[in-house]
Amino acid sequence: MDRQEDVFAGMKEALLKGDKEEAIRWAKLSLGMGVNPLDSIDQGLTPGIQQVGKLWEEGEYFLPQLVIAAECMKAAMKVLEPAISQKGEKKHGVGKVVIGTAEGDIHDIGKTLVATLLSVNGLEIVDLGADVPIIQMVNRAVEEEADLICISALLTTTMLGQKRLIELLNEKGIRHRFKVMVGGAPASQQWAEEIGADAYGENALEAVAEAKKLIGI
Amino acid sequence: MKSRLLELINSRGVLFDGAMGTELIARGLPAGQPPEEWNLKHPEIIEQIHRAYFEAGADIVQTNTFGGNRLKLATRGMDNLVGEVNIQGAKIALAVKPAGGFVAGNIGPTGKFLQPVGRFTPAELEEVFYEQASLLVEGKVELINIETMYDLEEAKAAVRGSRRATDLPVFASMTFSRTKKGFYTIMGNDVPTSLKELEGCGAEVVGANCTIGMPEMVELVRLMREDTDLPIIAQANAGAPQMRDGKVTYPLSAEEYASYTEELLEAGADIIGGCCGAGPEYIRLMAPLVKREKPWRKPD
Repeated sequence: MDRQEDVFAGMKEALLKGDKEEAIRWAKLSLGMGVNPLDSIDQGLTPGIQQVGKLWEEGEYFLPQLVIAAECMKAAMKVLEPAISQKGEKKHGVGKVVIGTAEGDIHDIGKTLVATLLSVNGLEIVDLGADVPIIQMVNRAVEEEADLICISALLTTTMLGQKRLIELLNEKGIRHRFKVMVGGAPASQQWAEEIGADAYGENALEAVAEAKKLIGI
Repeated sequence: MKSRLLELINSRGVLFDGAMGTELIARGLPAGQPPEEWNLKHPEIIEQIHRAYFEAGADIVQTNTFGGNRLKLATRGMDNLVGEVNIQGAKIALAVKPAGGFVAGNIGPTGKFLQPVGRFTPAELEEVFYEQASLLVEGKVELINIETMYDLEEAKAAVRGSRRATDLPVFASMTFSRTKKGFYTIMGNDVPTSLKELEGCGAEVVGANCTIGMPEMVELVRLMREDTDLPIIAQANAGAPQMRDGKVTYPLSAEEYASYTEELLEAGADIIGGCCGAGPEYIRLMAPLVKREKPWRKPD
């Protein structure tokens, strides 16, 4: 008879191996055993993705491993989600994030990873995709009454869109309504400070940590 | 390889051109606009840039076709222009080529990912690159330069596609960054495997460009030299881009960048150029150091 710990370890291992089927199997098994799905996320999936992130920082794992691990996590989440709503213990309502890649920029893997990880942490995500006009990002943030706007850019040209976002919020007199985090390879803490952003997410895991700080969870 | 080009590579250091993207941005290319569009809308500006590089001493300039493959153009609704963009690109460079100079057809990544990360197969990408290489050859380029590849499988598809399209020389550069474990591409490809497999597909010159500046590129060239007997091409960035007063700047000045030229040559680079941030001035300062006889390379 598997114990809870075995289930959590199994989930973590599935992410490390990038085995989607296994991640789904453990998720189903956990529900069958009556394990609280929120515990599965906190003690199984999240440590798994964090370990993947560490291995990436160590230069052991690369983009494919990150992407596949995130997909395994998403697949497991899909299995667990109905059980979370059923329990009425929805983590949602904890905070809402509008996220997208800046106008003119089609890079979205990092952004999607961040969106996935944020949603796993209970935040409600409005993912606008890539090549998002800055005005659209602002309008959606207002419409959705978002807490946090995350804007990613991979090119030095499109990076200027991050600066534009802050300017636009200021022009409309609504800067104070949102926290803004920037991300993407050319960005930096210095850049974030220079343009008046609230935070810089150096990688997906850092982004999640910063987002949680900004939202206060 | 074409004898004139091979002769040159064996006799002395060869000078490639510098950045195109950053030069276009400096001349007003709006954020998010595909640079290739200017082959059609502002050919005079592209011509100006090529001329500046030739005048700075470059032996070889690359066509403004980095994103000129069907898949990348399609994201901006320009895939119907794939023929024009590549053929015009070649025409513009050839129009200002001096005697003794060369025009390379530039091929960059599609921006799409192969399975399982994305949905494409190597065969599909090979077709796309075959199309682009064929068009560049139709435009009468003298060699193909594949660069900034971060996925070895995509790079191989580009080499295979180019090889199928032409007998002209095919160069292939990957882009590596330094991790705690050494130089790798973002997809996890290491240097020795990359160079070996690119050669296996038919590349005649291999190397690296972008992502890193100096002195990292010197270190990388040293490593590459251990892994291949082919001529090596190296094009470093002028450092990592930084934002100063709302403008993108590159930390390495032309003098600082050029000061690494000797080391690069000694490390084993045969063809040296510049990447992001390295404009005509950078090339001009490197020229006298690069275009010298190489006692350490024996002619074929």
